[in-house]
Amino acid sequence: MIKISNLNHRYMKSNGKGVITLEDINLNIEKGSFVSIIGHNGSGKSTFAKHLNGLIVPQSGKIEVDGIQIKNDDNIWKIRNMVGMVFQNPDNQFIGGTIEEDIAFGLENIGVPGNEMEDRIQDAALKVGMEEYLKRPPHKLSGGQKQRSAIGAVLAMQPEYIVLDEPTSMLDPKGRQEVIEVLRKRNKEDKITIILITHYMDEVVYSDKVVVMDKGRIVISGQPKEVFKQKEMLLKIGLELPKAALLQDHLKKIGVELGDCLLTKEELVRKIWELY
Amino acid sequence: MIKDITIGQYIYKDSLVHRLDPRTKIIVSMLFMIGIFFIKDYYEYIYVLALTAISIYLSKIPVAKILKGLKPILPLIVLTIIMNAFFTSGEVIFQFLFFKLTIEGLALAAFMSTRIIFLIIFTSLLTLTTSPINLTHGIEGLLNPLKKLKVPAHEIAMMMSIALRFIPTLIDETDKIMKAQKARGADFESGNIIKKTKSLIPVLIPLFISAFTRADELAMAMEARGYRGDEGRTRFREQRLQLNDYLILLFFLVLTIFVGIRSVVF
Ligand SMILES: Nc1ncnc2c1ncn2[C@@H]1O[C@H](COP(=O)(O)OP(=O)(O)O)[C@@H](O)[C@H]1O
Ligand SMILES: [Mg+2]
Repeated sequence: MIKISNLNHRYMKSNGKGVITLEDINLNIEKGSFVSIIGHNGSGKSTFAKHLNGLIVPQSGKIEVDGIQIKNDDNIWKIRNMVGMVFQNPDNQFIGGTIEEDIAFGLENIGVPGNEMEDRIQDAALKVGMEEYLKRPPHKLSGGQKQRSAIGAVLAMQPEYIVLDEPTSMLDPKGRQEVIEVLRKRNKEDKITIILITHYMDEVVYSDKVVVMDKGRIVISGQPKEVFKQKEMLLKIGLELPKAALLQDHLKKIGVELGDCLLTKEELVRKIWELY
Repeated sequence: MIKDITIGQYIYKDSLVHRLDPRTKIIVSMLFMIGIFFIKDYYEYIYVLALTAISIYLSKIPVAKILKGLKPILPLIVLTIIMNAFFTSGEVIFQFLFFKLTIEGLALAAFMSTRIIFLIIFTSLLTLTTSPINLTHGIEGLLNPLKKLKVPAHEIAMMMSIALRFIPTLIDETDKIMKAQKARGADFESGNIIKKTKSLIPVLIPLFISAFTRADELAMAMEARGYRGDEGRTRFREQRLQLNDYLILLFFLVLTIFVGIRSVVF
């Protein structure tokens, strides 16, 4: 479990003033769960994400990953091995010249013996469906393929948690879907904890927990159904509803009552079927 | 056009040259560079041509790919030709102000530009057949003995391999920015050199800004994946010198020494 208590953070401006970016964050991330974090630009999501593997060390408050506190000490390397991270821009996190070299980069860093690497690379590539492209350089891959390799590179390091900071925001719809599918599968089959930061509401409907951030604070947190019930609050802080919920809303206005808040296409279709 | 640069553009093939140890290929490239400077007569380039042709053949790299790599250095070749043709003293064929085109100059221009072309072609084989990470390992391997003298072998190698890895990305980006600026009416083709250079400023500035963002994000991504310099690092596909490596090294070493001695003695 990742336990975050009373976390605060401020960036120092050049004029010496601090800008508060995280304020009194308290959150528990259960092992094996799929947690989504939403919030509009500048709400502090990336700053928060960087705290989870010690890229930023807490200024005040405490973060514990499986009981190890994140501090400026040697444990930070252990934590980076436990908490993998995927970033937004697929190009700027591709270090190797080819996919297999990029996966190897992380393994080299954590001291995996050379003769074990081949197997781990194959295994990771298989899990993200990139096994046929191992020798390809990044500029010969689509955005979705690049992000899947980035996930593969993290998987090869066998982390307990993977934090993804808007991994789909630079992708086309197809690439986006591929990435989300890979994440859901890894979460289900390997029980890897996924922490997904996104601003696409349709990507969060399947998560166990949705955390809504605004101005550096957590304003709502709970199961998707509960979160998306608070429509006014979400709209007020500049977020939308998932497409299914939007449609349900429109139907309600013209007098078609579908009951509880619906989030996925499947649910919506089933409800509409039941009407007649 | 800008996309044609081949440096850093590794082409994967299963060939004898690809399988050589990167250290071998680096040393051979260096020996070639040294060796070619000992060549004094034009006809001797036949041997260089043969050597280069055999190497290309063995590497299975398409000749077209290699020739494409020459395009970007065309200005350098043209400059070499002009400098040599007009500024060598000898029998004047044609004179304009203080520019004197001489027979000796023409000969020298041909000689020098051939040398540059061979240099580029042969050394581009190194980057075409060696993936950046292997190149890194090779450079690191060669610099390793210097670590005791506090030479940051690993850091140098890492910097170079990242630079190589990002060349295609930056080229793509340059292309994109140029197209975007063209769409807004920018003109990169007409005018004199000064005007052309000026027209590149709106391309270079966004390129630099984005390069810094990239560097920042890349550093973060490397740290997130547990990179902390050389400490405790293992190697993917650690290479050992094979019989082929020894044979080829020996061949090039003997050849270079032979060419060197011959040029000094005769
Ligand atoms: N390196 C930085 N230095 C100063 N301020 C920053 C830095 N990074 C982010 N900020 C500021 O912190 C706030 C939160 O940013 P961020 O965590 O990136 O939000 P999000 O990822 O939700 O868009 C923003 O107001 C942003 O301007
Ligand atoms: Mg962000």
